[in-house]
Order: sequence, then C-alpha cells, then structure tokens
Amino acid sequence: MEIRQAAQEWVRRILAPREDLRWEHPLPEAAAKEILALKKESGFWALSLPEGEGGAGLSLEEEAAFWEEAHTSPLGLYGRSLLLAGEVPFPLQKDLSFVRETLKEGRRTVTWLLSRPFQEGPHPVLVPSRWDWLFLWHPAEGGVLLSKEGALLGKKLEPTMGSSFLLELRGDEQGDTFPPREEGDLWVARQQILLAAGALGAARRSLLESLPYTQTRQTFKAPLSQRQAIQWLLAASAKEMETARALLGQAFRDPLSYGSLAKAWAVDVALRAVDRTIQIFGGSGYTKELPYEEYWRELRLYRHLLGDHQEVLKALGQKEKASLLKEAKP
Amino acid sequence: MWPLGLYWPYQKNSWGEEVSLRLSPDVERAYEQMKAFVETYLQPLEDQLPPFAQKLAPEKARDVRRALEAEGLVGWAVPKDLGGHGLGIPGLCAAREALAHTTLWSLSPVLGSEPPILLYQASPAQKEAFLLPTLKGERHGAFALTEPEAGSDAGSLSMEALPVEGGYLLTGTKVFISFVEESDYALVFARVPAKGVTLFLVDLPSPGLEIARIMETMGGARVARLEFQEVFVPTERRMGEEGEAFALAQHWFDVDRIALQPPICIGASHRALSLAAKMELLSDEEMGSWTLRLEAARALMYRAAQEAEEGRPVRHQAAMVKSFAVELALSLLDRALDLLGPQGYSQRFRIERYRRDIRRFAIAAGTLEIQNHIIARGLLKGYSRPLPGEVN
Ligand SMILES: Cc1cc2nc3c(=O)[nH]c(=O)nc-3n(C[C@H](O)[C@H](O)[C@H](O)COP(=O)(O)OP(=O)(O)OC[C@H]3O[C@@H](n4cnc5c(N)ncnc54)[C@H](O)[C@@H]3O)c2cc1C
Repeated sequence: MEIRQAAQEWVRRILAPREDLRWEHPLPEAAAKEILALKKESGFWALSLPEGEGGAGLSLEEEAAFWEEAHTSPLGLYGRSLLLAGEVPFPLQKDLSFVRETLKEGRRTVTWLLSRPFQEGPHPVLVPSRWDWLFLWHPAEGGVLLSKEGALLGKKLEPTMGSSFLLELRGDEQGDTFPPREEGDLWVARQQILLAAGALGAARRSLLESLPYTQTRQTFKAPLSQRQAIQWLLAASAKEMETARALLGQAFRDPLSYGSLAKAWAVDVALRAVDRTIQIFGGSGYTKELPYEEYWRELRLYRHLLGDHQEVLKALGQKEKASLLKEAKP
Repeated sequence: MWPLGLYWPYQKNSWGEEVSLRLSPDVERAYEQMKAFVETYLQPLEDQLPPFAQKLAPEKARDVRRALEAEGLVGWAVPKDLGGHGLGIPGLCAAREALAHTTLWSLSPVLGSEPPILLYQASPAQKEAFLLPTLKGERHGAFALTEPEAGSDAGSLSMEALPVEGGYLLTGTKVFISFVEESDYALVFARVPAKGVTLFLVDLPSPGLEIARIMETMGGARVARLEFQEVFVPTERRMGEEGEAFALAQHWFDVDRIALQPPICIGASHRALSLAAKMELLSDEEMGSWTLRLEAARALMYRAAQEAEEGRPVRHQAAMVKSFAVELALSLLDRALDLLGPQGYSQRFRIERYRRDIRRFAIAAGTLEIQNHIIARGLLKGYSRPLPGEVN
C-alpha cells in the first residue's frame, strides 16, 4: 500500500528524529507548529476530505494505515493532538468556512461520543493536550459543536495520567447543533477504526522492539529469548494482535457494525502487548527512558474515547443476547 | 454476529504479506444448512451419546450418515470433481462451526468424513484404494504419529521401517491413537534407517499389528496403543519418498490446526453463550466481552482458512488460531459451568460434555505450549515462514 509506505517514511523523517520531545508535555508550541507544517507539506492533512475540497481524499483503509504508522512514535498518540489537526468531522464538512479555517490554521476538532443526550449532563469528557473545537455526537440526538472558550467557560481542565485533560460539561453550554444522521455515526465509526489501527501501531512497535532485546539481554548465562516464560509473553502478544487485525478487517467492510468492536478489542490487545513489553524490559521498561510506559498511559485513554469500553461491551452484549434468543426461538 | 464478511480488504498479515481475502456466500450457506440440520436432526439425539464414548448405536450412526448425504451435507472441502462442494478450508470451518452446536460433533470423522488433505497428494493407486472410499464414507483412516517417547517432539520418533524385498517391516509402538476402532487403515510415521521418517498407509488389521489397549479419556475420545511387530507394508503403500514424511505432512498438520479444533471451539462457545442468554446468566457487559473475544477468534480463523486455501504456508497463523480459540473456549465453558453451579456439573445442559471433550484440544495435535513455541520462534527468528522439514 503506497500510503502506508509514505506514512512510514513520514514517521522516519519527521517524528523519529524528534522523539526526545516525548518528555515534554504538552509539546512546545513551536515544535508542534513545525511538525504540523511538515505534516501538511507531506500531504497528510484533511485526510478524509475529498481531494476536490482541499483534502487528501484517503480511503478509510489508507487513513488507518497512516494512523497505525504514526502511532509507532509516541508523538503520534491521540493525546498529543498532532493527528487531529486539519481534520474535519463529516457533519461539519459542508460548512465551507469551517473547513477553510481548519485547513489553513490547522484547527483541532475533538470528537466525543455522548452516552446520554447532551442536555442530560454532566458529561466527563477527555480532551487531548491541544484543541480548538469540541464536536459532541449522540447517535439518536445528533451533534453539538462547542468552541473551546464556550466549552471551558467557568470550568477548569483537570490533569490525567496521560497528556490529555478531563473537562466536565454541564450540558447547558451553547453551540451549533446538528441533526442525527448516518454521516455522524459513520464519522464516529471511522474514528474508532483509526484508534484501533493506531493502538495496533503502538503495540507493533512495542512487540518488535522487545524481540532483539530478548536475544541480547543475558541473565543466568542465557539470553531471555531462550526462556519460555518470556517466549510465552511474545506469543500471547503476537496472536492477540493478529486477531485484532483480522477484526479490523471486518470493520473496514462494515464500519457501523464492527467499528466499536474493533476499537474495543484492538485497544485492549495493545494495552496488554505494551504491558508485556514493559515486563520484558524489566526496570528500564518501567522508566521513561523507554517509550512503553507512556504508550500504556496514553493508550489507556483510548478505552474511554469514542465509545467507553464498558458501554461498548454492554451494547454488544444486549445485541448479542437479543440475537441469540431470536436464534433459539423456532 | 454471523454472517461473516465477504471481504477482507485491508490487511497485511503480521509478516507484511498482503491478505486480500474474499469468502464466498456459499461458505455462509454451508454454515446455515449445517446448523439447521444440527438443530433438527442431531440435537435431539444428544441423549444417546454415552458419557465416555463418541459413538451412536451402529444403525443410528448409519441413519445419520444417510440423512447427511441425502441433504448434501458432506464433503465441504472436497473438490467438485470428486463429488464434493469444493468450498475449501473456509467451507470446512463454517460447516464444523455449525456442527459444534451439538455434542455429537465429535462423531464427525464417522458422520461427515473429510479425508486428511494429505491423501490428495497420494499416488493414483493409493487414491483409488484410500481416498475415494474415504470420500464415500466406506473407509476411515486413523493417524499414527505419537509414540511413548515421542509426543511433542515427534521428530524423535523411533518406530522402525526396515526395507525388505517388496516393502518394509514396521516395528515399534504408537500411543494415543484416535478412532482406531472405527478405522480400517492408518497413516503411520516410521523411520527408515539412514533415510529418515517416512509415511505409510497401513491396513487395519494387518498381521503383526496388535491393538494392545484402548484407553478411555476425560471426554468421549478413546485412544489406542498399537504394537507393531514386523508388520509388512508393500512399497506401493509408502507415501512420497523415504524421509519425506514431515515435508509431506506439515501443511496438512497446519491446515488441521485451523479447520478441525478451532471451529468446534467457536461453535461450542456460541452455544454456551446462547444458553447463558436464555437463562440470563450474564450481565450485558460480560456477554459483550465474551462476544468480542469470539468475534476476534472467528475473524482470525476465517482469515487463516482463506490463506491456507490459497496454498500459503500457514504454520504461524494456525498456531495462533488454535491456541487462541482453544483457550477462549475452555475459559468460556469454565465460566458457564461456574454460573450454572450444580446444574452445570450435571449432564443436563451439556456444557460439562463440551468442557470434557474440548480439554483434549489443549493436548492433541500439538499442545498449547507447542503452539506458543511456534509463534515465539517465528517471531524471534524474524522469518515468517517455517524452514522446510521443520517438525511441529
Ligand atoms: C485425546 C487425544 C487424541 C490423540 N490422538 C492422536 C492421534 O490420533 N494420533 C497421534 O499420533 N497422536 C494422538 N494424540 C497424541 C498427542 O498428539 C500427544 O499427546 C501430544 O502431541 C503431546 O505429546 P505427549 O502426550 O507425549 O506429551 P509431551 O510431549 O511429553 O509433553 C508433556 C507436556 O510438556 C509440554 N512440553 C513439551 N515440550 C515442550 C517445550 N519444548 N516447551 C514447553 N513445554 C513443552 C507439553 O506441552 C505438555 O504439556 C492424541 C492425544 C490425545 C490426548
């Protein structure tokens, strides 16, 4: 896939040399600007917007490939906000001035899936380190677009274990509203798939980097790779990641049915894979010298983004129960 | 969450190979047809399955076989020109997933036999003598690899095949061999001195070959210990060349790891979840969590099945599919047993039967530890594909 190669190249050229920035939270403004300019220059900008409208017009699979590769650097994590800049949620793509501003200024619009109608607040929302707009979506009620000032009015952002922040919305904040439409649901499913792909990118790096380490690190006169306790960890990560990729394949075919599943599974698989890598690297795995502890803290956010895992599982369980009962009836 | 998808557009597999897969709608139909048969015909017979055997009374078994044939529900992976459905490995997986909705699934070699794919590589005369009758359900084959001192480490087996005029004399012991009572031939692995492990088609019974013991197990399976004392096997019954056994058989082992046990694990898990839904045993969230894992297993199995169908080496995928599916089924069945309490322990809901039968998958046809070993070794060596002739 050409986009995948281009994305790998982009990570190698732009993100990898700046990886030391991962110690800084949030990214210094100048560095963030520089990276975004380079991102734009490389054509990874407005990824889902059609080419005729100034976007890259990527297919969902291509965009997922970009997210997966971007996540092989901790700078590409959601909480860092770099991936959001320049992207326009589907329901907002008709608003030409919003699109224009987003493309030009590199605006960051955060999408958040509401589990209750907006008016029935409060809503605990997790936002990444930098953002400009908040687009809240409820499948039955539609969307609400809040500006940062509007959303923050009279409130404080609370720090989290990662680079993102907690914002408590009351449900009486004022913003533009959007009717419930499939395009909104599709946008959410698309973002879920991107998160799944991203999580697998982080998992892949963690797993692959642990391999040479196990082959060179000696304990009791033998490399770790010869210890089955360690091999088992590697095998568990590899096979779970493979199942997640297969499920992601389903999600591309049918995003609305499988997007949330693919995300829930891939993120959990990635969290476990990263955690095993931390264990394999021992003390150094636990320190910030290596990126894995950060991967874990940041990916933990993905369990709540765009479909809280508990909610996803509940909904899936309800649906499955209904289908199993129907199946059993005749 | 069935039906499964027809397209797998995105992914490369873990080793960077493009997987652009397409499952035919016929595969979904195979599942539906088989499921309907299982529900109407096989589930009502479940009470007739003895607790420690996997057989029905002979007349009953014949009836079932006839009904299956009459409805065209055999030979899913068998090529069309041999009278099968030609649905390949994915079709076999789908049919077996449906079959797993009855505890009678374990009769499958007798009921709806698919010959070992290895037999398609046999010589024309061997095909005539073994493959074709197996397809018709007239002959059944056992598979004899394991020895007392060579289980996981099958490559170290020691049964000797001594070359003599017109053939070989096989001497040694095989253990844990399934379906010996139902079979009239066996695929036997034996070592030709200085040449290596070689594959033979041996008639059951044969002079010098004794069924020394039939052992009952935790589940319905019964396994035999076979003693070979200078059993003569003519040269025409040798498959492939001397020393070629593992090279010939490895792809078959791999495909079986995808298509034999995992669909049973997935189907049985599905049935357990059905029961849990009916009896309201699980919270929505827990139901969702099991469903999610099941979907993941299914997605991987069908993808690997499709890869195998395209003739790719699938050693690692197969190891992943097997170990993921078996672990999932065992843990789900254990959970169901817990939730059902004393009733679950009884035979009423059949979960106990599934749990006892499926426990063998963690051991037979490559233990779970060996699957982990295969996956880790593949990763560590940085190659995606096994080296030729590598055992396991
Ligand atoms: C119900 C049933 C049916 C069977 N049917 C057949 C049949 O039809 N034909 C046939 O040929 N065989 C058959 N077998 C045999 C089966 O394939 C072997 O039992 C299996 O390969 C394991 O061999 P073993 O029992 O000798 O255990 P061992 O190889 O001695 O292993 C013992 C334990 O050590 C572990 N172990 C071994 N090596 C390693 C390692 N390198 N790293 C970590 N752990 C390791 C194993 O996982 C296992 O837990 C059947 C077995 C069962 C239970």
